[in-house]
Amino acid sequence: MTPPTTQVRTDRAAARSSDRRPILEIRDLAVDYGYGEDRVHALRGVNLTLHEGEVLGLAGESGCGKSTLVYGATRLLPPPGLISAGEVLYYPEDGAEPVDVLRLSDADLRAGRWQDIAVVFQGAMNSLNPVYRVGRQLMDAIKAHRRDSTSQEREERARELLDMVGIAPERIRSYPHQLSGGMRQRVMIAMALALEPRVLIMDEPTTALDVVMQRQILEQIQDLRDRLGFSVIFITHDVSLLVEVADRIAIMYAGEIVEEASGKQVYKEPRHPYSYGLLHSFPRCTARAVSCRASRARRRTCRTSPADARSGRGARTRCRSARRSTRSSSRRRSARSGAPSRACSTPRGTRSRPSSRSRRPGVDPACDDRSRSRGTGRRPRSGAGNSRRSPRTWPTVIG
Amino acid sequence: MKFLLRRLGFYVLTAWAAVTLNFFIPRVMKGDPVQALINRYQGQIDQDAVHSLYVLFGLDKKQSLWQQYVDYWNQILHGNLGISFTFFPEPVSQVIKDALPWTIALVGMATIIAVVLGTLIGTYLGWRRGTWADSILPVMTFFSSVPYFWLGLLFIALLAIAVPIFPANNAYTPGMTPSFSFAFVQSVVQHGFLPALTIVLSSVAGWILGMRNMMVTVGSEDYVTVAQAKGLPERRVMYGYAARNAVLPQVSSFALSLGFVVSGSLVMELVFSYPGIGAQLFAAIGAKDYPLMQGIFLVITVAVLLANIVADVVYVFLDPRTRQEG
Repeated sequence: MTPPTTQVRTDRAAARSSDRRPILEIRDLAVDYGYGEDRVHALRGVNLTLHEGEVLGLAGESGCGKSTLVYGATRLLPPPGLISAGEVLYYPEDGAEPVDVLRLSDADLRAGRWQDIAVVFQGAMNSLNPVYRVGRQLMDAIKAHRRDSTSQEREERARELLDMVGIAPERIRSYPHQLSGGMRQRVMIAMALALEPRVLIMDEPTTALDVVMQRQILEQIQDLRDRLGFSVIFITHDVSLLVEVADRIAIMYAGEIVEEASGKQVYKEPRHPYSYGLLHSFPRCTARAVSCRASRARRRTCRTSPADARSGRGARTRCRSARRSTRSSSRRRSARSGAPSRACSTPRGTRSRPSSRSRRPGVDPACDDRSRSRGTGRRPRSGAGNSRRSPRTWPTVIG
Repeated sequence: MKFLLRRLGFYVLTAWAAVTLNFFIPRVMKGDPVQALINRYQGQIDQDAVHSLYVLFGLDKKQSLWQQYVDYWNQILHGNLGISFTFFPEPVSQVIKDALPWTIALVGMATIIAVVLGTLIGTYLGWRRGTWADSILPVMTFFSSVPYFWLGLLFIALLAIAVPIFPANNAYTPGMTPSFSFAFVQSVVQHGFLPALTIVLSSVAGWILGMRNMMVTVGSEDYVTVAQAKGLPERRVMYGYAARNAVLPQVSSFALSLGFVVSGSLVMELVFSYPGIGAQLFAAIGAKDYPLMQGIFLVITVAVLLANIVADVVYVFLDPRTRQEG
């Protein structure tokens, strides 16, 4: 079998940042919901590599499979979710052979959880057990993995963790319902960092919060990452936020990664039409603009359900480029019946290139050759002009 | 604390209302208890005696209703519930005192066993949803859907008559003197086994079902996923996170069912001729024994209220969200 094109791309990306070893490698991960004929392919062969000390942003609209990716890669998928193919390689710290998380025994999996890969879940409101004090929930993770620790040490650590995320250590005695939403979210972050994991997966950690809180939490995460040096997979549907915090951004659509590049490149010249659409889907602030732009954006992005996209090219039905290229025949028919069209797997502006006839439609190989000219190590957040030129005009989160 | 005091106030109010109703209902009901008693003695009672009976039952026509009501309260607070007709001249309180321990011990034990067993099985079924374990459920619901008395009769036919392992009726071997000797306790356990088995089998399905459904609901909560992601041992996730939260509704229904333990299991006590309070209530209704009925109703009411208070207190301990800390 020929290696998938994305793999080539990520390897090159790794080569560019020479000092960065991969730490988590997701290969051809496929997840289905349900069984038999009616099953829905939620993930269709996703390839993603996280390097040491990197912030990898994962963006996409609701239902594109972002969270499924997290649950799949950590083996937390609730039924009827089923991992049908792929492997998730975790590279241990001591440089030993990578282990496939999906093939670990239950005991090994439990031992590795939180210690190696910790997750901050979507919806901090329900992530804490309402009947236990916050401290107990912080401590039981430590207790499960550090058997020889004394209860005094654990309490010390819990206080330290709360302090680290800017919550008064006395709150260790509080119940979750006594904390505000932002505090709960920070408790969850503190909890995730309890064992100093090497990989931190954050699934929309700020979605439910107001912008002020979002900013505080994001700053805190970046601060902690600079201090502790863990790698982050940051999931959100807010691309412009990612442009500011992520080293690299992967754009997901209908269970596939359609574009992967450094934050700046995704922002400046998105190659995939969907990335372009996602970046430009923010309504303008002026009244008239809101009405017409937003409605146009909405029309363009009326979502394809993963179930409808079973045939393969999920983006095609609503892809402007695809429609344009098939205009000569029958646009409407192509949109409905899903007649083959290559346009969507074609990067913007390179429609005539032969590489667009990739055998893996939807995953386009364009990103690597255009990112050659730039380094990926820099975080785009340093560019002050960046946020000013950001496509969204309401207050940006990171200044 | 404030919360508990407020609840307590509420219960005092309810108790008052219950006692008041208990006072009025026999007085507005058709039929005259004294007349019923006179009929039983077939006119062998003279007029003076009739009047003193009215006074004795607190139905003195010369007294105002208010006076009767005040007297009624006075008597209750002194533990005097009147005199039973059926067991004349034994006071009602004595009759209840004799029957209550049997019911509470048997039905109480059976209920506790059913709850503990049902909750444990339900926890397991909910956690292992979608495996072979699910097939236990229909078997259990079958037992609870079978008519209760029929199940009891079946057990008597099978385990007391066909294969005489257990006695078919009574609470202990007739002729024995109640004491805490080994032989007597053994006899009580032997006699109680079949009734308890009937109660447990017919009520355990409800507890299993309730717990299982709550486990399924709680199992999909985010905090359970987080607990899994934290790499906690499976048992800790199952008991500490899922079952710990799923058990809360079970606790309140358990407290409620404790209240009904006192009323006994009427059918069971009849089927097994068990000398419990359910059998007494049945006898009282048959004999139009108003004082006994009233007394039993009062005891049941108080028991339900007490069970509710206990449930409230326990709930406050189990669920911090109901606590109002300063």
